[in-house]
Amino acid sequence: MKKKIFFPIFILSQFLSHFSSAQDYYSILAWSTVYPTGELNDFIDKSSFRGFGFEFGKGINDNFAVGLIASWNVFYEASDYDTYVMGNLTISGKQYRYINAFPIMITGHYFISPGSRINPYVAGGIGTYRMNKKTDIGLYTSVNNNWHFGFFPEAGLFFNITDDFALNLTARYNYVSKVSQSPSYSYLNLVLGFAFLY
Amino acid sequence: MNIQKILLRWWVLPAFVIAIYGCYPGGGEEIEDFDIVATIKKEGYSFSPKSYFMPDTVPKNVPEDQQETSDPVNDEYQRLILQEVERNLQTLGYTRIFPDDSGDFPGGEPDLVIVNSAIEITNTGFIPGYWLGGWYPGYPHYWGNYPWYPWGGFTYNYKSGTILIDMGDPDQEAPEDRQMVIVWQSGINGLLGGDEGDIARRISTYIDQAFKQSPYLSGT
Repeated sequence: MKKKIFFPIFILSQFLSHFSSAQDYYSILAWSTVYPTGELNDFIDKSSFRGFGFEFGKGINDNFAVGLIASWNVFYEASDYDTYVMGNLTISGKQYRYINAFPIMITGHYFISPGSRINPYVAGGIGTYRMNKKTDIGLYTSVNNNWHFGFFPEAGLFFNITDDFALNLTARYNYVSKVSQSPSYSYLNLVLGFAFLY
Repeated sequence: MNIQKILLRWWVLPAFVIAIYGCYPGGGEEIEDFDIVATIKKEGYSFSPKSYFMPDTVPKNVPEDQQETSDPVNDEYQRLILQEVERNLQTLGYTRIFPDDSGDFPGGEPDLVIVNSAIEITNTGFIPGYWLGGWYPGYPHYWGNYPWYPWGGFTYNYKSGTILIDMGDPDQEAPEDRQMVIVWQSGINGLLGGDEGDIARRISTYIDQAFKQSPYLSGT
C-alpha cells in the first residue's frame, strides 16, 4: 500500500522539480494585428487591429524552445449598398463580412543571440486553425465554420527589459489549408508581445 | 518557478481579452443598413411591355389563425406601394387595365397579373449573460424586455417586414397545385422601425430599386 502511494508521488515530485529551474519557461501575452493575403484578401481586403495571442513554452537549451500558442484575430469589412447577381436572382443591400481565426499550434523557436539584450529568432508552428466565416446581408446570415490544418513561419526578436521580462516583436505568415467546404486562407500577423520568463 | 509570480502575471490575460474583445465589430447600426431588395425571374421567360391587371389593395399575409386579429397594411402605405409599382411599370411601357363593374375586361383579358402583398414578422430571442462570441449583432436598437435572470442576459424582439410584388402570366401552364405561374417576383425586406415618413421613403426607394435591378422587364 505504501509503495502504491509512494510511486506516483515520486513521479509528481520529479515533474514539479522541473518548475524550480530558473527561467526555462516563458509565457507571452500579445496584441496581434493581421493583414489578409491570397484568397482571404478576395473576401476581406482590410487589415485588422483586433486580436490577441497567448503562448507558453519551455526552453530546451539556450538556443531552442518549444511551446504552445493560441490566438484570435477577427477580419471585418462593411461594404456599401451594392447589387449582387447570382443567376436569375439579384440582391441589393449592404454586406458585413467577418472571419474569426483561432489558431492552436505547437511552436518551435531558434534563438540566434541567447543572453543578449536583443535576441532575434526564427520560429515555426504547426497545428489547427478554426476559421469562422460569416456574411450578413439585410436580416440574413450565411455562416461557414470549419477546422483546417495550417502552419506558419515566423521571425522576431526579444528585447530583454529585466531578467524575467521582455518585449517581443514578431512577424508571422499563416497558411491555412483548404478543406472540402472552405477555401485556403493566408494572412500576415504583426505581433507585439509581453514575455514573462520563469 | 515562482507560482505566486505566475498568478500575479496571468491576471493580465483576461483583462487583455476583455479589452480587445470590446472592440469587436458590430455590423449594421442604422435601420436602413438591414434593408435588402431581392428579385428573381423565371428562367427562359421572355419579358416585354404588356397589359396587366393589378388589384387595388395590398393584403397582409398572415397565418390563418391570425387573420381576424391582425391589423391590415396602413392605407397610406398601400396607396404608396400601388402608386410606385404602377409608375415603374408605366415607365417600362406596361399598361394597367381595369375590369368593368361585372368583372370583365372590355378591351380584352390582361396579359399579366401583378399582386402586391405584405408580411410582418415579430422576431424574438434571448441572449444569455455569458458572452457566446459576438454572433448576435445587428439589432441592438430594438431590445425589448429586460427580465431578471440570475445569470444575466436579456430577451429581444423586433419586427421585420416584407413587401412582395408578384408578376404572374395566366397564359403559362401552371402546375396542378398552383393557380398561376409567377414569372417575376420582388421581395423588399427590412426592419419595421422609424417614423412613417422614413418608412414611406424606404418603400418608394426600394420599389424603384426592384425595377432598376430588373432591366430585362423592358424586353430589351
